[in-house]
Amino acid sequence: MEKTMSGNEQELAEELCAYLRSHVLARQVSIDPDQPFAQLGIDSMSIIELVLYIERKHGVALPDNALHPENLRTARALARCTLAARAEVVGSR
Amino acid sequence: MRACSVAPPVTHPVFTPFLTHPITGADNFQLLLDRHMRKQGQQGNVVRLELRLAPSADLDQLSGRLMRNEIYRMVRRVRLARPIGRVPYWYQDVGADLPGGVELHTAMDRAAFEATVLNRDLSLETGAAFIDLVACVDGSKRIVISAHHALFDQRGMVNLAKALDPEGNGLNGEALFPEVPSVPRSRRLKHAVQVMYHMLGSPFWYLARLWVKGRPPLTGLRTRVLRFSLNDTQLVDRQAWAQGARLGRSHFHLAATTMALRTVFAQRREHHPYFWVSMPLSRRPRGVRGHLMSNQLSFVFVRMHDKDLASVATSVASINGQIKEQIAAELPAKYVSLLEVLRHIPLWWFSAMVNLPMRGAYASFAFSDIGEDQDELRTFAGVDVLEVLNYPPAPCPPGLTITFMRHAGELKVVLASVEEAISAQEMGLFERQLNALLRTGEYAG
Repeated sequence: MEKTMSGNEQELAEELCAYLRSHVLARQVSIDPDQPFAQLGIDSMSIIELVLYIERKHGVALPDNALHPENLRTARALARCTLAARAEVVGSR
Repeated sequence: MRACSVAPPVTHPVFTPFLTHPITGADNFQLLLDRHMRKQGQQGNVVRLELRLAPSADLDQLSGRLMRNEIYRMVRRVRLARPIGRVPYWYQDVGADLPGGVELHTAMDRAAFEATVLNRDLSLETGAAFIDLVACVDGSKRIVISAHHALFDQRGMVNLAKALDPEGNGLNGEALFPEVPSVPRSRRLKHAVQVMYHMLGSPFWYLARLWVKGRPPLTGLRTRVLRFSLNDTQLVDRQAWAQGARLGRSHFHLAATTMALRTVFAQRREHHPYFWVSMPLSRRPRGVRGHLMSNQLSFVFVRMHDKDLASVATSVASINGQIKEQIAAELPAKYVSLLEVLRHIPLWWFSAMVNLPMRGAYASFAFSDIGEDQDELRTFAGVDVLEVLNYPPAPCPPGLTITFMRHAGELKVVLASVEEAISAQEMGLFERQLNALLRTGEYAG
């Protein structure tokens, strides 16, 4: 069964922030969708976790060319490139 | 390190409650490495953080201020207890004699710096930290903080340096020890079994090993630093992207390192079926400075066969795949459970469990990538910090540790080795090839 994903960038970015809050960040730390990951010490291993979460939860495997450092800088950038990858897959069907 | 079977004798009010804390599984693993190193006649498992200070630094004055630093005095009193039937724990020996702990050196040349400062051994019985203040013959001034790895991970070293800064804000309200999440024992055991099953599912017996028995006796730890300018670092980053490193550059760094080391084996006319490497992962919660003492680490593991090492791109692809697979299976989190469980058995038993399947080699080489230092430690004692270097220990075997790090955007690679694992000539070859592979993705001619 195909997994569903809201097309709303803000919603997905918030969801990614929620994942980071519960799995990666210290309890008292807040994050907003435009905050650079590096500023919070979120490293590449945590970003791999996030990308795998997107794959698992939303069924979107980000293609190689989407994994540019600019797209992995903030939750919003990652949400945007996830939606673009999703649209591309849907468009090619 | 003392492995005592009973609680230490109480000659003074020893157990200050706020400082009695069980060791973490990662602390125990570092104790295992310490044991392993000492059994080979090496110094113990000591990590170092070097800050090169602006020439205006007044080392004399700094020496006095550091000796009086309350946090430093407390750290030097921390000891390890290994009571029977209980998890070992850290405690503060509040009455411990604390001679100095800070040494001032003047007109020191590189050879003396390496022999004295970078080979300073530390024991958990006499103080887990030591500070060298060095005025070098070239006019540079350095502070080198050495600490036992069982008590300090890389982040802990940065936090210790911040706490020692006379112009800093001490611990800034952060805890001394980590808050360890409580995991039910049954789940912990289940995770431990899953990790053991994963790890023992493929053999370790034939892993590539550098260690050559019968080489001349150790002359101590040798340390080299490869420095890359900002432009060169950008060149390396472009190469990482070109070779397929998408989720972090460390996979490219590891691929280049493995391929460079392969040339050393080729020169020896040795062929080993595969390389086996573990890469530490910090498990500290992010977004805060974090606790001071105790390791909060896990590992991912990479096995590289000949077919993986056909080119840098194939090596990167193999590493990407293996690491993604392990993170998807939550192995780093489960490995923490395994390490926690292993705190309950004696170190000799833990040692046998690691030694037997790997014939004592532990890994083909030790590797870590600390990444960018995020604008931290830019000043110390009111003067500019010109460079920050993390010196790893080189557990032997394997006897070679490679650590990648960045300060102010510039890549630095610290190589720590011993003669029995890799000779000076071989190290020269390795360095040349690593440089070439990082910059061009190709071997040097």
